[in-house]
Amino acid sequence: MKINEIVKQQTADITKETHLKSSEHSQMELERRMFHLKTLYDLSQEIGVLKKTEEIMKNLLMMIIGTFGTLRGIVVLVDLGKGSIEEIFQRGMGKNSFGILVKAIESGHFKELEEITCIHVLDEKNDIQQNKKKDLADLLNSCKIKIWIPFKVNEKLRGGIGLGDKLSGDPYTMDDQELLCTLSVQGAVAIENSRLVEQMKKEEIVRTNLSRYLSPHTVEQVIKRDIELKLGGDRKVVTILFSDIRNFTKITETSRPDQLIQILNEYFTAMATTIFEYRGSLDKYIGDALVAVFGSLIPLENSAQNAVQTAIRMMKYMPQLNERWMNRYGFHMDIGIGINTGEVFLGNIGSPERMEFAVIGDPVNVAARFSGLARPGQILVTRETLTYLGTETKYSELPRTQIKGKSGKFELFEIHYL
Amino acid sequence: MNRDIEISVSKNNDVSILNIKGDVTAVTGEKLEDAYEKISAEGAKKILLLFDKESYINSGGIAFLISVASESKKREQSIRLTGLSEHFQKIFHMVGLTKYMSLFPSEESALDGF
Amino acid sequence: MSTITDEGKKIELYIPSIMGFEKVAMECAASIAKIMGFNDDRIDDLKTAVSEACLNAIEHGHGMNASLKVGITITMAESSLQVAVHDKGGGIGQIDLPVIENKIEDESNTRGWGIFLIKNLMDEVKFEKTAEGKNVVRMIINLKKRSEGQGSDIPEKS
Repeated sequence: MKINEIVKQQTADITKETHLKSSEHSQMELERRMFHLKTLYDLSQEIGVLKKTEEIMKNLLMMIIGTFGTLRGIVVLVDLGKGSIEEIFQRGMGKNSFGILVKAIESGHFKELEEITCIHVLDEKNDIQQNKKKDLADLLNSCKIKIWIPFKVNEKLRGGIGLGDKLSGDPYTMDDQELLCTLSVQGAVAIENSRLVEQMKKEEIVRTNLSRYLSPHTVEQVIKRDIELKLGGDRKVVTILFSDIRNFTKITETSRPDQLIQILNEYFTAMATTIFEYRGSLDKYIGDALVAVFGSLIPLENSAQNAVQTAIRMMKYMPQLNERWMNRYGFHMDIGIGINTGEVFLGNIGSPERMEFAVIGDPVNVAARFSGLARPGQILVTRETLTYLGTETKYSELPRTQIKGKSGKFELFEIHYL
Repeated sequence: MNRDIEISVSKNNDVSILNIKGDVTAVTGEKLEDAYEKISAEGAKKILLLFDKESYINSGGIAFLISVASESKKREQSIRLTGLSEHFQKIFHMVGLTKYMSLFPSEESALDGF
Repeated sequence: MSTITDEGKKIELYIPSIMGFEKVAMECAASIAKIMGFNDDRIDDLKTAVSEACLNAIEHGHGMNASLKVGITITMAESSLQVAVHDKGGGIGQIDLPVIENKIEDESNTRGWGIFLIKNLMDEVKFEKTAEGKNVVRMIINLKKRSEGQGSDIPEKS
């Protein structure tokens, strides 16, 4: 009798205990889930604020380590195109393990690691690997990584997160895997966003820099990598085109400042457009003079040819412009063009953020002089330029002339375009 | 928005106390780690982490505490914790930190027999 | 108390009278302006003005004689920056938009526009001729006061 009572009592006690345990358990579960939700929220807050890729990855790793309570963790971003590691961060890995994993990734193992479409859990009890993945399992094991999840940022950029044993000693559960998946996806999205912003900023800088020298179309081509520019630090043979307005003083006397600016704008725009059409670049403006270079930024087969064609086109277009200006303001513009070919120093002497592309050399001086010698509507070229022109180019030789600041006389050639 | 962390150091006999106020996150956690390194360098063997009941600790912050816990083991230091809200006590337990650092209900009880 | 002497606030540069070298002078002036806290727009203005002044000196002052050097002196003051460009040449002549007749090799037609630009971009411009016959173009830009919300004052030295 007594034993029955004791058993009954004990059973009741055990049941009570079990109930307590299960409600305690539910409570724990609830707390745990709340904590994970907060982690997800915090993560989205922290890495949703646009930061650099580096910061995002560091924070991601920390949040994940803290969520699961592990000593070791690693997060890596790989550029499949380049086959190299873009970013890699680890915590608690130890030099050896870290070295092994980096080497493996660099030597192409990442592709295999990437093939794991589901999370790979390495645990004697919970092993879900297939036979062919044994090498991977061994690799991760040797680095003491117990769980690995790959993620995709974009076509070229792939990542991976690896974690070691939990401090608590518990195995990774299905819930853990789900959470890890969610966290890695969040990370991937944030990384992609930050990279896009970084890229946009870089592109903006490039656009701003290059727009001073090249046409918008060419600038876009550069950004899209359709053209590779030669930015510099070079000694090269290029062709310089110098164009100035012969009757500028007269125009300034008879026009208002706003009209003057308008005219200069139209003139420079027309010149620039033509120059860009023939793949030249703008070097600078000197007052009302314009200096263009052919064969510098954009490599050309025959820079002299392009320059002369530009000059001819421009001269042919002038009557149209002049008619417009005559009707509107009552005057016309006479331009003279000088072209020379020679070796110059080229390069960006500013910074990547604020480019200052310089073309330095005596050939520029000579082109300027020739432009000064040219009468209205005249295109003058030097002997050097002439040597590059084909037989279709019609020209005549003018008397040799002394050039100010230089010794000896220069050969003068006028290009016929009518 | 997360608050910043404030850490002050005090001593009670041979116990170094880190008073932690504010939020312990992936961003602020580094300061906690730095403070720990500093007192370790001064030779602390008994450390008490005194948290603020209003403190918010997220997983990023926990990652730093894990490092601290791991280091303390290597350095044969003893770390005790107190002042955490019940919620965070449970989290610390879940994550396994309590295997490395013992939880105490109050400062007195933590210092008692340390 | 200022620990930098007057000489220590002056930077001097000499460039050959070859087109393209004005960019070196531009970058030099821009570096100093940057150190002093001028904003990017103002620095661009300075660069353009320095460029025009140098090119004038190269082209008209020295007739592009490569062996002659154009001198650029950059002086840092408490709240302003002065860039002086000097050549050895014959001079600008009339300072206002020139009325000289149109010769084929007339240099002054381009000179006028350059001067127009310099005058409009800089806070102060002075055209001088030294006793030795050198032409100097002095260009000054001022740092604005904090209340105007641009750049920053160099702290007053006690």
